[in-house]
Amino acid sequence: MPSYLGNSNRPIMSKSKNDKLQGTLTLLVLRTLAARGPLHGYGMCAHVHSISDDLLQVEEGSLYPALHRMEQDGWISSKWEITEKGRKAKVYAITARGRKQLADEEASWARLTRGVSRVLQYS
Amino acid sequence: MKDIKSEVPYGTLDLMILKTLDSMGPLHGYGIARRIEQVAEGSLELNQGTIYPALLRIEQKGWIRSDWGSSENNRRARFYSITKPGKRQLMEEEANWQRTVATISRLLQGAQ
Amino acid sequence: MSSTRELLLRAGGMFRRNRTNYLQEEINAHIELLTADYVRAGMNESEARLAAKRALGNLTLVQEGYHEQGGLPLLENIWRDLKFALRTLRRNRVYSMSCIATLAVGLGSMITVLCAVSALLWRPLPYPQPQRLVALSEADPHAGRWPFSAPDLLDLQERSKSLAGVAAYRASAVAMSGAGEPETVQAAAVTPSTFALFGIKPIAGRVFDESQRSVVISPGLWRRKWQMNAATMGKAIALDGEQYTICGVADLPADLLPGVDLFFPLSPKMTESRTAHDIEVAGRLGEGIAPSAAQAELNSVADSIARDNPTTNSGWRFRSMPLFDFVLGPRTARMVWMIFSAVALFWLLACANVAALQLARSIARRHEMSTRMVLGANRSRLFAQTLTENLVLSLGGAVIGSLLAQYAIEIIRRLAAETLPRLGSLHLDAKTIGIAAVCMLLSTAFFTVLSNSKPDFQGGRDVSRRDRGRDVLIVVQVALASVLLLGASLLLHSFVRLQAVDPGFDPDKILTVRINPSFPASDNTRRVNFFRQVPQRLERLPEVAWAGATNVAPFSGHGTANRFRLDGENNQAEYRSAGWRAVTPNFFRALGVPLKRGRLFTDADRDGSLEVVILSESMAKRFWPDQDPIGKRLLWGKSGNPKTIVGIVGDLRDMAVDALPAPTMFRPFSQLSDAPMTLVVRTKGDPITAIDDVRREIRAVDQNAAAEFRPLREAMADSMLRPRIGLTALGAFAFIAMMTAASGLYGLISYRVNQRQQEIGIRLALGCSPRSVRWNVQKRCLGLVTWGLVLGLPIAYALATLMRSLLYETHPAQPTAYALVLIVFIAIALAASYGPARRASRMDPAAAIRYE
Repeated sequence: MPSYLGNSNRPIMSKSKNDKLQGTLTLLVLRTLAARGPLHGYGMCAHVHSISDDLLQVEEGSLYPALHRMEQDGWISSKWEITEKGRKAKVYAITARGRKQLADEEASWARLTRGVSRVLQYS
Repeated sequence: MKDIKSEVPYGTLDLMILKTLDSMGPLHGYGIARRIEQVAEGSLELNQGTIYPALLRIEQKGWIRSDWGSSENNRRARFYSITKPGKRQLMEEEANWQRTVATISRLLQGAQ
Repeated sequence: MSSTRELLLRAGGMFRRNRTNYLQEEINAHIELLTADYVRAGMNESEARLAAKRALGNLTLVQEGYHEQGGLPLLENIWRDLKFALRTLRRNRVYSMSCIATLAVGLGSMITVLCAVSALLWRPLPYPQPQRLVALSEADPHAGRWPFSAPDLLDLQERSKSLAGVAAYRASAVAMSGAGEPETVQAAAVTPSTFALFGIKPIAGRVFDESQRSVVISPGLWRRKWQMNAATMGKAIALDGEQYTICGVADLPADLLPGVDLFFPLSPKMTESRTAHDIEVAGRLGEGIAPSAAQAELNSVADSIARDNPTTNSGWRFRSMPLFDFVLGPRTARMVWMIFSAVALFWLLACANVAALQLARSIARRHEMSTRMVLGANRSRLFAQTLTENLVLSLGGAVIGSLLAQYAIEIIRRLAAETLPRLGSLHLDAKTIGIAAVCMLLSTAFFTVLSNSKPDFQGGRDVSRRDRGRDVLIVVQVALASVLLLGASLLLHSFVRLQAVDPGFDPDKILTVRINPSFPASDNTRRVNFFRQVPQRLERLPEVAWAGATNVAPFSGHGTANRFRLDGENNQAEYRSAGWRAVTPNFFRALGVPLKRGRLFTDADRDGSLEVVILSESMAKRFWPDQDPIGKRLLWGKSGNPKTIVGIVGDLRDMAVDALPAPTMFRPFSQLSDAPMTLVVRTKGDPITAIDDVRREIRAVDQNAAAEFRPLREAMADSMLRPRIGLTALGAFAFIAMMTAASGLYGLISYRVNQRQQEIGIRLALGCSPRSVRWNVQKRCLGLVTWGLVLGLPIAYALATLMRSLLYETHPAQPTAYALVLIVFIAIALAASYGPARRASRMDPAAAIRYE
């Protein structure tokens, strides 16, 4: 099952613009790792941020739990590396299973947008 | 692969409900669910029960209103219709949705 | 906008129970429709229904989501806690009632007394810029306080620069005729400046200026006599036989002139005597003048006056004090603080009592609490629940308490408004309620923390710690109650002493009549005749034994004093000072003052005959020690006219019950007529029944004389009003405090006995005598009380030294008072433990051992 959907029964009282994108986080992470190779968390945030013309913002608060979950699911792997500045950082890379999941997620995303777009068009 | 449907995320459901009511006029819950499924041509998996908390939430925000009426098979049913603030909200949400989809699509393609 | 709307709807949703039913109905409709569609698509009925249900998803989740969206989970928790609390409290009715009642009495008295404090001590005087108002007085060389004499006042006004304005007044009673029945009206001569000084505007008409023979009447008198008719202005009335015109209606400061209904112009003259001190003065300090600067200037003015008038004014000073302090009086302030302290102590006691009750309950509920924690209730939820419960109790106490306070305030206002005009404005104000609310919240927090302190799963150590906690709380209660009881018993001792005071005469069967003849006070001959004739006529009445008159109404709270020198002392010698009274011959017999030596006055002592004086015993002893003063002379007042001493009478206290008998000189009224006078009539039966006859005889001599009747006993009782208020208030609190502490003791001892059933049973089974079991229980109770007294009595003593000035002939260490406290508490300890002790000694050993 596509992971970005979560439990749609969960009530959220206030809704920021990005709320409906919460589910797409996995998709974005997998896509980014697939395209750019291994990255640490901050690099992922920066990448998403820049490529979306500042429209999408990944909150660290939700990114790291998501990364943890994805690692448990075997979609990504991680190892500790020393950055150029000499700091320790965890670097993530996409796995083979992750690539398969990415394909599913992308298909699912395409279906969703198609479905919603149809509702918006033909209603 | 053909069987896989996309479950509808939360905020998107609101959007589709508003859009449906806007173009179809007053509908009961079942009518809304059926209409969305029909138009999406099977690409969306709508857990039909989830529509009710969503309807309540949207109603509380004042974007739709509800009245009791009778359904096609003469049962008492609640009919929902969009309000003026709801129409304003719909326009905003629609634009927002388009923009978001465009951004993510660019991200997915551009990164490839 | 829409989120506010959502919040409101959600809040409303909490109370709509049928919300879920709507949903059910909606879902049913949904399933029906879907099923019908599926059937149309070719499924059979039951398949279609199943598929429809599947399509709808997990219904429970839907319902939950719907429910959560429909309400406010946090508020619903509070609402649930509240309902839970109410249910629990209803189940433990005795417990909740005790808590609420104790808190209600505590908070109620707290609010009431705070209101009194607020009305008396916090509220500024109701005049413009009250902080600049001062009371001015003169002080003799011995620092005794005197009102001003007219020339001193005029000099002061002329020479002082720091006073922006001065008001002078002299209260007196006048006979008013020309408006219905002649009657005595409390009146005051006031300088016209008085109205301006206090910022008083007339309600009708205008105020007077010095030149007019006009009067201003109070709104009360206007209503009573003229029904608030505007045509009253310009009407003529006679005051003491002199004609005046009513010119206006205004209220003068009731704080200074309580009960005064009539104001006429006072115009002090330079020609009046410098030694006649009878004008009360209030002043307003100039803008920006510090009280100390004003006092310094007053000193220099007094010095300059003394230089100009050495014979009369040397050594005299002027004094100013804030008008507020003067109005309130130091004793009233002290009394109010005493009662406030009592209430504060009682409030603490009430809290300790409730806390003990809660501890007891938390011990009883420890199983419930730890079970619930094991079952996964989180601690903050349990805490929230206890807090809610305590808030409900405290709120209940607060609501009932404020109702009680409202009621008490109503009563106090009605009872005390006349004696303490400032209490007339007593009401529940925001400040008071705020303070009470803070007290309530603090106590709630205290209870919650106390009864929530870590429930412990084993229970054992925790219970013993809480048991010790209960002991401490009981000891605190006893200590607090003993402080209150000691205060009350000291006041009681003082009151008994006051009651037992020998006034120097027999106050029973005496009727006093304040009397104002209708002719002018200056008509001396008529006055002397009047006060000779009236007593003579009265004595002819069958029910009257003796009748006399004096210039000082007994127990009116004030007297007259004058200076004198002993015969042979030269002009430079220091003056001596003593009280004096102008009396008619039979005054002593009427009041029952015994003649010790020499003779009383007779009708032969008159104007022109030998000037005579009678001394009180203490006066004779003080100024003629070891001598016989009869036949000796004293030099009267400033004039130094010699008066021959012809008799000595017993001491009497006629000013106030708690005043020491002052050395007093008596002069025959015929040689020193003074106004106003009070008749003293000794009756053979009840003084009340003689009133009509006495009035008739007075009217026979002067048709328009105003007379005011009052049995002497009543005046005496009034003079004990303040001590009585203090005693009643403190006594009441002490009593409730004792009862509260006693109930706490009883509860604790009872509980202990139940807890130790097994042990007691074993003892009994082993042959321990029931008596020793009983004694064991009682000993424990006595032990707690002893600790309480050990803790409380030193505090009580310390506080008692602070209220020394309220005690009459009673030392803060008065042994009898301590003895009373001891006896009462031993009695309480024994009484509180009697029931539990008896139960313990009658326990069936076998049953007790089987227990648990």
